Amino acid sequence: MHNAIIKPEHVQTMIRRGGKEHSVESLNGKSTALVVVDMQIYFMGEGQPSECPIAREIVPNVNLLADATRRAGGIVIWIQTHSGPESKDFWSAYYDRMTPENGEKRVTGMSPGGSGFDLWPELDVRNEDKVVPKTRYSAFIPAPSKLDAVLKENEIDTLLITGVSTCTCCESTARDGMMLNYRTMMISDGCAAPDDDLHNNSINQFYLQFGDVQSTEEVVALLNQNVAAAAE
Amino acid sequence: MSQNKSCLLKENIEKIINRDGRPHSLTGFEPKATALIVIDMQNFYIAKDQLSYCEYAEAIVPNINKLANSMRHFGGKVIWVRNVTNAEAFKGWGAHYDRMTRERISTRKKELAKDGNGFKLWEGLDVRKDDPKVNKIRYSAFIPGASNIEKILGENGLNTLVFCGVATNVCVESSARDAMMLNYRTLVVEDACAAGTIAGHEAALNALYLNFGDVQMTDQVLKALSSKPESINEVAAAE
Repeated sequence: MHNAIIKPEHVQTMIRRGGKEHSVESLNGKSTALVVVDMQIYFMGEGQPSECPIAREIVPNVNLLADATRRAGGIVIWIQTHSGPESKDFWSAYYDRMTPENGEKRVTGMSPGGSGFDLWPELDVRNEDKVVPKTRYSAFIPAPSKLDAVLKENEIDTLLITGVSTCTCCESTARDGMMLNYRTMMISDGCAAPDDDLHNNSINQFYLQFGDVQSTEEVVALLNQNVAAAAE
Repeated sequence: MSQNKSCLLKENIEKIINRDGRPHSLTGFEPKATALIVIDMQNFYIAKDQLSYCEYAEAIVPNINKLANSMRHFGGKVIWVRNVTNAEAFKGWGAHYDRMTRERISTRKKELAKDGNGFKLWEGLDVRKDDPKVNKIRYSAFIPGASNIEKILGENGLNTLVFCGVATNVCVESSARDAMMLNYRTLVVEDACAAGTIAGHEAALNALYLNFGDVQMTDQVLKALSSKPESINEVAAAE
């Protein structure tokens, strides 16, 4: 797991700007979605082209969050990257940068049926959850996106972002979600990056300008308040 | 932040050489398809007495003017993007404004309104009458509803974007990330961007370089813009 740290000076900045350390102090379960980004074999399996070993370590936290979100009345969304052969055309700005061999590896690896396409088997994916495809880093681009449609249908206004990798697909989805006016939070120990620096730079930047950052334990406690309130 | 050395980490350059076969992917430009996109170089971020003053922003003005001049001479466009706050911006972006104190919101509202002093482009910039100006109501100019930039780019046949401005890790980075995902060939000019902190500036540039597009110094871009224009197809064929 990453040694995730929000720098104390950034906490001071947020207190100065917004009057408090955390902008999210409660969660309404019914309008909350856990968004799990790209927890696919391509990014998680040993020897896979974009293996991020720490992604395997966050699986228990993602499963805990999924359970807490469902119990609070929210929905769990598993984002799955599809990289069919047509992606070479509609995203040539991306593939033109890399060698043809590396481009081909990505296209075949994450095409439906490809060796890296499936969600990681240890994830607790339930029938009532949504599995939503994306074709770029951010699940909100291009618009109109499937993710945005699912969120609107389910009257979701708050996003909890987890998955891999923190600084690329998680951060871009989280940034875009916030700019589309979802109250967006990144989970500090529910995202994984290639190393601690990339992870910490990403969550600190997000915390300063885009949305809140909290740990799995903190977020599960906020979600559980819904369950407690319902029981009363 | 007008550093004279690139901040790209050696290990990241090695990763890119490994993945792409070369350290820089954007080395040839087609004049008619290329635009310099200058993000938020407004008083609000550059003037000392303003709320979001960025102490490193004024120092990048000479590089931005050089790039703008060279881009026009080359035959490309220069587009000035400005943050604006209006009723629409407030109504649709509670996720942003709910994180601020009332005082900050009212200052932003006043200064970044179309007639506010903070809204104006910094006077040291070489802005020409013919340069398109774009107003945006989010950090990224490319998020749906934020601006009309995609319309302007489409009308002018522009598909290669050279980004500079302020802040590297917020509006420049979000615009560049989204632009690349919308399939624009994207380049960010290191020493023509500024952020609130050196660490934030450098982390953003390295993240952009690893996954979103090319990152180069002003001199590298000026050199490419002064050489014989190549069509994108010729460049692609040569690769």
